[in-house]
Amino acid sequence: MAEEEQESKDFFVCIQNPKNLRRNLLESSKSTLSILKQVYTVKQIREAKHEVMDSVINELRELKILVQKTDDLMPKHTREELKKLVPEIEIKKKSASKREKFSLKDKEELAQQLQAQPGSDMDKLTRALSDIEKKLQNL
Amino acid sequence: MISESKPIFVKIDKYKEIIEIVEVINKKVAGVKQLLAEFEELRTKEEEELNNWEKNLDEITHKIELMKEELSSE
Repeated sequence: MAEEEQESKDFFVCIQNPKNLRRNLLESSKSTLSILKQVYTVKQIREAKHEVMDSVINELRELKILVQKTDDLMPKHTREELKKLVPEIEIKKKSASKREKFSLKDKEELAQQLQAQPGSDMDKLTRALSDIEKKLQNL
Repeated sequence: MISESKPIFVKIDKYKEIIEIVEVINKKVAGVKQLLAEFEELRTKEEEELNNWEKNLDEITHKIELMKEELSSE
């Protein structure tokens, strides 16, 4: 009884070109394996990229320290000392209103900085960048 | 603020040290450039692999489609 049921469920399909079907099947299998191999390669490439990125970060950290050290070694003079050393140089003093404006601006920036998440590397870098920009503006 | 940028002569106590540091900085910058070139190369390789990946997927889709046709044809 069970065998009869099984036989009635069997379905026969005519394959016109079995060789082609076999070839397509094998080629699909080959492509799938190729993709798996590529996934592995991409994984390796990404790991290598991470390593290179880490090295870049380390080098840049060292560069930052070296630049800072150079800056520290450069002579620092107050306005008075500079005037004594080079009397022909004209040193302008910032106007009081400008100073006020700056201090207001500084306060706003400080408030913004305090609002931002403290401690994260991105914030530290943003702060360092704005400090340098300020120094450049004051040159 | 100095009104004009004029050359000034200042005493640098650790001149040699500064020059040495600048040399190290130059070497480090060259190293970073090298690393960036390496990174760029890896990025190109990755892109190539991903393109091949897509190509192979298209191929599989095509082959499966052909097989489906073959199996459903009378």
